[in-house]
Amino acid sequence: MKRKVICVLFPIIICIITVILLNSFLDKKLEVMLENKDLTEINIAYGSMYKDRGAVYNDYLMKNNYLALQGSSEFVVPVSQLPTKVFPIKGMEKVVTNGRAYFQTLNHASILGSENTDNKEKKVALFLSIQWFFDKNGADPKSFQSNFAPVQFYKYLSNPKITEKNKKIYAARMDNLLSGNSQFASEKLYASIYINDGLIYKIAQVLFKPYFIFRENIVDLKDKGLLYRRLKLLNEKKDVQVRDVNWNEEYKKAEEEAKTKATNNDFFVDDNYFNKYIKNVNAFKDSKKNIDVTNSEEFDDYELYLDTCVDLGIKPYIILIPTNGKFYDYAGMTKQSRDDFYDRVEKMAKEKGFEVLNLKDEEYTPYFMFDVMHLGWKGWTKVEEELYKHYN
Amino acid sequence: MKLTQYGDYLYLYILFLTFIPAILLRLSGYTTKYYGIIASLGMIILIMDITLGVKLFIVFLVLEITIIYLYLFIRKKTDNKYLYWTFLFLSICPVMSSKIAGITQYSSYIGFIGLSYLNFKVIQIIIEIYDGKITRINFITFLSFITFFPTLSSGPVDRWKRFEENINAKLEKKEYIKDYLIIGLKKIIMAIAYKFILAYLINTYWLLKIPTNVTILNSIEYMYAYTMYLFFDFAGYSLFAVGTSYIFGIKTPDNFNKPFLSKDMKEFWTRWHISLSRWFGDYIFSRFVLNSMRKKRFKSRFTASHIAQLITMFIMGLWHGLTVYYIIYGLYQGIALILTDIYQRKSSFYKKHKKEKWFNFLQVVVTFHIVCFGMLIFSGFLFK
Amino acid sequence: MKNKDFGFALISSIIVVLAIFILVFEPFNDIPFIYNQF
Repeated sequence: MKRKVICVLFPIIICIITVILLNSFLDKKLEVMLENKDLTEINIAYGSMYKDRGAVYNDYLMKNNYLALQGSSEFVVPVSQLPTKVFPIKGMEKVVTNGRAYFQTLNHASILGSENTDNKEKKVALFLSIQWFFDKNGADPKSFQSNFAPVQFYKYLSNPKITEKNKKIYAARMDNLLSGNSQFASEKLYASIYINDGLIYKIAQVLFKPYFIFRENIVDLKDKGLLYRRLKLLNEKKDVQVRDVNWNEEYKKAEEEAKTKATNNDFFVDDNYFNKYIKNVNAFKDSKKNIDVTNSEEFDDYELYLDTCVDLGIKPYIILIPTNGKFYDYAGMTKQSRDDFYDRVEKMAKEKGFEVLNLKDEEYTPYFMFDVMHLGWKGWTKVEEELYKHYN
Repeated sequence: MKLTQYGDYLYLYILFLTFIPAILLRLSGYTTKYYGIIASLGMIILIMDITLGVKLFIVFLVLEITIIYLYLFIRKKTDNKYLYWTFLFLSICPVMSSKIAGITQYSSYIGFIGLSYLNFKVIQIIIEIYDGKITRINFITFLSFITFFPTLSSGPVDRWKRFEENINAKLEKKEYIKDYLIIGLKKIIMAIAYKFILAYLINTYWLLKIPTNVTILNSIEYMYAYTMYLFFDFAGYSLFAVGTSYIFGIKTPDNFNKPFLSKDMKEFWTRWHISLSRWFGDYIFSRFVLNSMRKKRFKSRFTASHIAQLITMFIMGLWHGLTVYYIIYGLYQGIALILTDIYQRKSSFYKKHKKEKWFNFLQVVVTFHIVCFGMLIFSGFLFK
Repeated sequence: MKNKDFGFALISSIIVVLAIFILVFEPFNDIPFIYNQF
């Protein structure tokens, strides 16, 4: 009888030992590889799971004073002025992008909250898009889930620097946004246990504790394991010549390039974009007339992002992405309502002591935007120059 | 929160939690009948979607309980054939309407997880009531039979009499540990290996990497990969179902027995998805053959058997779904069985060598390929 | 008797280790194979 019990316990003990050994193996290997490998491919990648849906890589970036540009789809716009093409430059050698399409403030809050912050000088710039605030409910569950990272979720909720109040708000949002997806059922369960106090939840908390210990450890290991696989394929670090940048020249180059790409329309958007998406201009008249940018869940998520930064001691540089003014006017959204929005989100950030780059006055600058809502040739140059000035 | 049964580790953890009371009950010599119903209701809510699925399940349950008890009562008075057919037809209605709805826009509104398998349990009872084999049905035992969660989503298909005896029998502690608990745990470990390791690796590193355009080379590769994936995934699921049953003290019959060692298609169907093929064998094939012999419908008993094979396999194909490739799959299996039978009775080459080792090896290889090609049809890869 | 138990412990340990390796080195996936949904 005793032998049978030992035989059943044996695999469980092996399980625990394996997890512990794997963890220390991966920690050691990652430490070495992160120092010695050329990380450029990951740093300039758009939508990289190691940056966007991981934690350990971001920890490395943060410890090494990288500037994190937190945005969404503007990072994949086909212009030569993208930060992944412009940086590194003298004075800004370490820049990475975080985020891809459908990233909103909640995702970026998760990234910041999941980092092992000891670095008070952490450099973060948030690219805030007005489009995130178009829907009353803010982020859409399916889109949110495609960018969700369990490892960030658990780390946020166990980050000692974040207040309980903010954690409860965060968990409540997660409980809401993770519905309908069985892959993240564990996290949804964790979130609902976190925010509820009833007896059933207390019982569930006890019953599922062993499971969540397992799950938290596994997602953490998975983050490390996947990064390990990726780093193994990279080459060794090599010396890189860092160029000097003359911003006036960059503007000239941007304008020259833009003039060849945006030729066939009155909105100064890229030709291909125009042909593909808005050629039938009349169809878009007043199409955005009924959009209300004063009432969205995203404002609360943005507030949570700012409060998370306060808790973590991070001072983000909030960049307010403008729209293509001419197009949006035509589509029925008044300049006044847009300006009210920009001023409102600027105020929210300034109240926490953060600095803001409000680009509302660039909405009519030709070639500033690539299309109706993404930064383009001159827009990116402007933002990069401002970032340079802000961090130097 | 809706989980796929045996689909991920969260479900497995919840499953292990349900084991604890079951094991404690059995170790103390008690039955798991009543606890089983409660645990099953919980699992049903977890597995079926709560907005519609669970409600449809309740409707199904009420309907079938009514049909069974009504017919049980009527059968005591008369064994009228037409009444029998009426009740039989009524009991088949749920799965039939689900399959028919499956090809219309209403497919997600008419059906719930496990309906196709659950219905077999009820049909079988109606048939045996008519046969006179079942004369009384204890309601609680029946409820535990129908809601029995380990086999809920995809079988194996158990039979009423076997289950009834099993769940009402007294189980001594020593016998439970030796013949149920240990075996059940072993099956669950194997299930993890089959489903979470082997099936996962075959899918991720082979099946998903095959290009989707239908060429001869792709089809051949897909044929092997899909068959192996299907086997490990479904055999893994079945091991979970059977292993869990054992832990509850129920010896649900196994679904797979080294199917790729089959020397011919007849043997294959005694080794693959066993509970299903035995069900079809007992309740469609055998009855049609016996009925045909009695009515002298065909000249020879072999013809009767062949027609029965075709009909049985055709229905099996339809049961999977009313799509072109499932129907062709059914017919393919029927024809394979017919040709096998003819070959084995008529071929002198076969009769001469059938006991020789090299010939047996050849048989296994050929049968494996007949199976794989059948699975290729079943997968729908050729019909995209 | 002894060998059987030892074998069980060994095989289940191997399976557990393999399962952990897959969990650690494989990305999140959703491949729900649902045979006979209804």
